[in-house]
Amino acid sequence: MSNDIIRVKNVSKIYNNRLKALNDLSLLIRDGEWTSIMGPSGSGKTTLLNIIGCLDSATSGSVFINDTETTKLNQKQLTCFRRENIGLIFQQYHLVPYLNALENVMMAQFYHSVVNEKDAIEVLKRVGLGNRLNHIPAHLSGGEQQRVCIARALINEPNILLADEPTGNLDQKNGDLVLNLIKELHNEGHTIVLITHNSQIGKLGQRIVNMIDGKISS
Amino acid sequence: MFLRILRKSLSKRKSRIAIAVISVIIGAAILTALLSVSFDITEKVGYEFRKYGANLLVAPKSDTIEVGFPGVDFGSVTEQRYINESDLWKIKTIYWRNNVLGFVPLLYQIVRIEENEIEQNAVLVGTYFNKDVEIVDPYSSNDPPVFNTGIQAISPWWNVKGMWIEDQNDTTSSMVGVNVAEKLGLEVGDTYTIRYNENYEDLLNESTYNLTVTGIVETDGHEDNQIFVNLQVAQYISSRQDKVHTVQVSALCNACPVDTFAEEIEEKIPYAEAKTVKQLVSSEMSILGMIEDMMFLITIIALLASALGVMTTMTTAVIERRKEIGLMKSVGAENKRIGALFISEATIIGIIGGILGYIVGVFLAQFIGLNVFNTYINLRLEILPIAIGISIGVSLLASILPVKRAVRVEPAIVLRGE
Repeated sequence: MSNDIIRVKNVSKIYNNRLKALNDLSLLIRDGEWTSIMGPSGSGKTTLLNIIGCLDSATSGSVFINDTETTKLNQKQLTCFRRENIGLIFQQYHLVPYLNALENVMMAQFYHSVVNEKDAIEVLKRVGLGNRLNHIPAHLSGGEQQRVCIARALINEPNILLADEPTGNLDQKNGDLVLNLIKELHNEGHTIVLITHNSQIGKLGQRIVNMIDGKISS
Repeated sequence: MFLRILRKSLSKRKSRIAIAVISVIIGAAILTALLSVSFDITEKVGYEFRKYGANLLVAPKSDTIEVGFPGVDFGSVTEQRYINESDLWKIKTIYWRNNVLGFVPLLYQIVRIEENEIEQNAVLVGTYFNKDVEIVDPYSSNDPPVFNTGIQAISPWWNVKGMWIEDQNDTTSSMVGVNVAEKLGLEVGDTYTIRYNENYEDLLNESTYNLTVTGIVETDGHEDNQIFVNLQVAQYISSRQDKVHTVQVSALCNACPVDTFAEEIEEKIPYAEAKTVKQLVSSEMSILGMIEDMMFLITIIALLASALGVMTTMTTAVIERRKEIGLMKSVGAENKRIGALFISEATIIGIIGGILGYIVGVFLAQFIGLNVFNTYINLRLEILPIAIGISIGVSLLASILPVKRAVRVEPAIVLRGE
């Protein structure tokens, strides 16, 4: 049995019949591996992450995650698959502005299965926000918001964490805090796929995938 | 958690929600007001038109036989000059009986009043005020055996200072026209004496009778010069038991032919003839129909405007919350859950708008009632669920397109940062 948790086979993504974001791309990612994806803007990094994360569909080719061919799932099945298997960490955090830190995490629980406030508090404590539970995003720093985003990604215990420039909007101190958290999660066995422009951050991964024009260059 | 998201989502966007609620309030208020007025319209407009007088007048037939020969007149013999009071119940046994809102007999006599050293002639009118008329032989076994009627029922617009005569057995009270009261210096509570004289050849029928003023009537019509008493008083004074001169009938027909209405009364009381004020009744019906059509149109327009307001607000909400929707989807929310959030918001907007709109509509109905029909409109609680239901329906219908738009939001836009 293969040890590859993510298998991307000859995937192309064409927007509006002309813009080729991914061009016959293939990639294997092992279970528990930290893969850093690097490349210039427009190289197709985010498109690849969206397709792996079941947020977008490939124009051609196939993607297997945990032996499930996600490119054959319909929208409803993709949603179910995503909430069971994948945690998403965004550069811009994307927290619901009118919900506090705890509620933002509980919302992910709610759409996954059942709400357990105790578990949500625990995961927020773990990311160092035990004393910021009832603060809305506007009252949290960028680093704190990103940690709420990570807590939300972790709450349903997914095996795979996809992070798109997670430190892109953070200062050095907060960036380090977030990266240390991701390192911890990797050490616990999570598979990490992280997009970054920063080669120093890229090097934290066990493997660096460089992309240019929708293809893997190295 | 759903309720928490819903509550916070609504409270975060209070001003936008308020705009949608106000849209619904306007629609629901107009709906409530016009439904209230419309429900009351038959009665209220009927009463309004009654101000012109009864729309049917029943009088004895002119069974007058001319006596003499061409060129020489010896006078006439009249077989019947009165209608029997004991026949009046028959008016409520015609096919269109339910359209008879009320009827009153009238027995007129000239009386002389001496009061405060002033002598004055006045017309004494015997009539019904609050009379329970027994329907001896009802048209249908389901018909009530007693019909309550009186001058107050067909002439509610009378401006009365003091009290109406309420007791049908009251033989001492009177309601005095304002002109008579002024000339004689009569006030409510005063007692005065009337004298009745009737000369018939050598026979003299003279009687006096004491009456108390319970109310002073002002109508700007001939009633201002009359004195009103219970019919039995006038019959007693003039020794005309069971007799009345005419009967005024207040009838309202939406579908019934008025001529048939009158013919039926004539069939029931063969020695009487019923005269209709045709133009009045037909224009009454046509105005009623036009008012109801107009109200229906206004209500539809108001509800469309409400729907537009809600749709605009909901569409704006979906556009503003695209990232939030995308995020919810990215963490696992299915389309039905996204749709449920917006549908719940629309339902709440409908409920709040419906309730507040009903309250505003009640006041609006009173405003319309007082300014247009010069009367209060009855508060009808049965309109509340209608107002809420239609408000919810309008909100939901207006939310269909925004909800479709919301569930089409692609979660990928969140990651792409669009």
